[in-house]
Amino acid sequence: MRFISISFNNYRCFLNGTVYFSETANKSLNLIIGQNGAGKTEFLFAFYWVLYGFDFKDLIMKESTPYALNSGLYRELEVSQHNDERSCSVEIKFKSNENEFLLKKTQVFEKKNRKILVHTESEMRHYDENGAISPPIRDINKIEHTLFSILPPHVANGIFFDGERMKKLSTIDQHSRVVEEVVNEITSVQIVEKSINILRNIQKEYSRNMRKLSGSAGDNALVRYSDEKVNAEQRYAENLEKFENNKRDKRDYNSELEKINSLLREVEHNKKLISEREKLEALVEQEKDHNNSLVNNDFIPELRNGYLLLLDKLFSDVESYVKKYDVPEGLTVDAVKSILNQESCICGETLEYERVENLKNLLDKLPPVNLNSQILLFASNLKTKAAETRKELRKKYKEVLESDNKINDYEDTISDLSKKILDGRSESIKDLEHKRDKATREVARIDVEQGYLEESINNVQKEILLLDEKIKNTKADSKVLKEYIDKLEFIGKSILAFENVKKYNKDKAINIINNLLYDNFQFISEDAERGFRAYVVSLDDEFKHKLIMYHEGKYEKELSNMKSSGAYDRELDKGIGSSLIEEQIKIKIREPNSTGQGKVLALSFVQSILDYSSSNKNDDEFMINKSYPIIIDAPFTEIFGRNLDNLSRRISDFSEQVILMLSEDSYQQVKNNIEDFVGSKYFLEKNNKDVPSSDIRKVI
Amino acid sequence: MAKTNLLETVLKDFSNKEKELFKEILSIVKQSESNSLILPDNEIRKKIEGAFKSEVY
Repeated sequence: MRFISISFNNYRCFLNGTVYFSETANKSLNLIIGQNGAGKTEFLFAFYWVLYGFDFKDLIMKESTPYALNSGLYRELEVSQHNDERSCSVEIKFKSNENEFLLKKTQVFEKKNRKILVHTESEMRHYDENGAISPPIRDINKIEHTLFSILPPHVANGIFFDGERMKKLSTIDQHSRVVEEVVNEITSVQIVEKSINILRNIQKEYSRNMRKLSGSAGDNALVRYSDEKVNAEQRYAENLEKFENNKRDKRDYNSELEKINSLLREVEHNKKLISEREKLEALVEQEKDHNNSLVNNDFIPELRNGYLLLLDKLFSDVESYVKKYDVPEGLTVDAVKSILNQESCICGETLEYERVENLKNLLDKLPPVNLNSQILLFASNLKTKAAETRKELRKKYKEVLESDNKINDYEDTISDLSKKILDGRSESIKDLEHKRDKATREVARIDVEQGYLEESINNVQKEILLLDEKIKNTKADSKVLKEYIDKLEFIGKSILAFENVKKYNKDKAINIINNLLYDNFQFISEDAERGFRAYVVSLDDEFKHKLIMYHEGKYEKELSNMKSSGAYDRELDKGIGSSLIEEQIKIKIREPNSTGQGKVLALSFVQSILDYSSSNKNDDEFMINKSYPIIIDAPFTEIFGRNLDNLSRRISDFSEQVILMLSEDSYQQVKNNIEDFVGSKYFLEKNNKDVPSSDIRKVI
Repeated sequence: MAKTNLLETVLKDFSNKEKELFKEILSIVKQSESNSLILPDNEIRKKIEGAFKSEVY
């Protein structure tokens, strides 16, 4: 399957434009380049929207525009008149097995009574070998039937990515079933299941018909056997479904148990951390009291004298001014009068007339007391006090600062401790223990029930075979009845044969995928050189279909330890197969991965499933070849060094059609490695029109 | 279960003609997987009807 083109009309940030994808051999890469906000991720979501529907409310940070219509047009509609309408559409053209299809999705937004109503329409057409186009199919069930068989949604989850979706591949979270769903689709399990379902439906129909016929023919034995068989088949199907559901539930419970146990261990550790934090919190309170006291009782009162520091210069100016114009110190009215009452000056000179007159004139000018001297004294005292204030303020400020730092240090440590104990705090030990006990009881219940179900399935299977035998031996007179008996016998045997095929095929496919994964991870990841390996779990019930990374050296060591200690043989004695034991070692020593490593791991897996899906399996009756395109938003972000170099060299080989959304910077980083394989290149450019949108500009 | 023996193993109780019919059913489902315009239910029903009606068995 490959995309031919995608066209937009008023859709999100694309008002119009068409992107045509390369169909040239060895030019598998199609680049959509744009700066942040130009619409690269919107481009990816457009595929989801037109193929499977997409709820824009799910987009974090974009909830203000949770609709497919361009936001500017939507706002126009909000303020427009009754009955006004706007519409948007995305049209996608694709090819599957030489058949060309056209799928168009349109949404009409209509203003009615101040509300905006939305109508969605989809239509699909296909072209025949002569290029004639079929009438449109508008029945959504028919469209989905065709579309899902060409590109099942589960496969799309494994080949259409933005960062968030990619994380789901490399997570071992029990809720993430992406790997399992992709593996199921890609490994032809669905072919066998589809065959079984079709045969079961025909079987039911034939059984009903046969019962009717035998009833009207008066063949009581055949009626009874037919009834019993329908009943037995019903029980068989129910038990089988329950058995499979139980297996999945057990895996989920075990996964939950592992999480709970890990949380409980964390809680134990948290107890210590919590106690440490409580001590620190008490210290913080104590220090805050001390700090308040320092500030309120020492620093602030001292700060009240702080004006002295501000007045320092004023005092200096007053002092120098007064000194400049002041009469000599001690020259008061009394002092002048005292001099005038004497015959000679204190210096011994005779007071001449002129001097006496001067002194008398001076008396008129002098203030009653010498204020300048007072001011000077005051200024001198304040200066001394200002110096002391400065010293005190420095001292108090230093104390407050030390106390502040102490509080900050304590609070930082508390915050670090809180981060470490955050997970454990969300649930109490009691709740966790309650959940653990419940999950343990459920696992035990499932184990017992599985035993009964297994026995029951075997018994019902025998019962059906016996009934088949009885029905076959019934002397059905009618030719039609005889035919039904033969057909039902054949269908019964065929269903059993398909059941046997199902498990074998999937195990075999996962083995092949794991071999491909080993090679692809070696090529892309620089961690591979350091002994790390990628692996899809295939046997262990709890981790089945999870994508993990482990270290080969650690694995060899653990395996060797198990063998030398006899643990390996003991497991074998319990009836556990060697492959499962070895796989469980890989699970036990699995490595956590960073965002970049997770991305490399996920991309190695994606390449492996695409390689597997498109590989030639013509020698295998139960397998089919399918090739899919791959669409990745920002494939190279958070990947650096050799990983980046390896991945960019390899990415054109991922599929016959690779559609990448890149920032200009990212493109420049990998340009030399990818340029030879680029078949089409478009730039997305934000424009400054009234309606917020991006233009699509073709470069190649 | 070796690959080459898979069909033989799962179809051990089948007659040669039944084996052929089984393979044809499988082939229809496979074709419907790669060609979405094929409706396998009807095709398989027709195949079974035809095989038994024509008294091949």
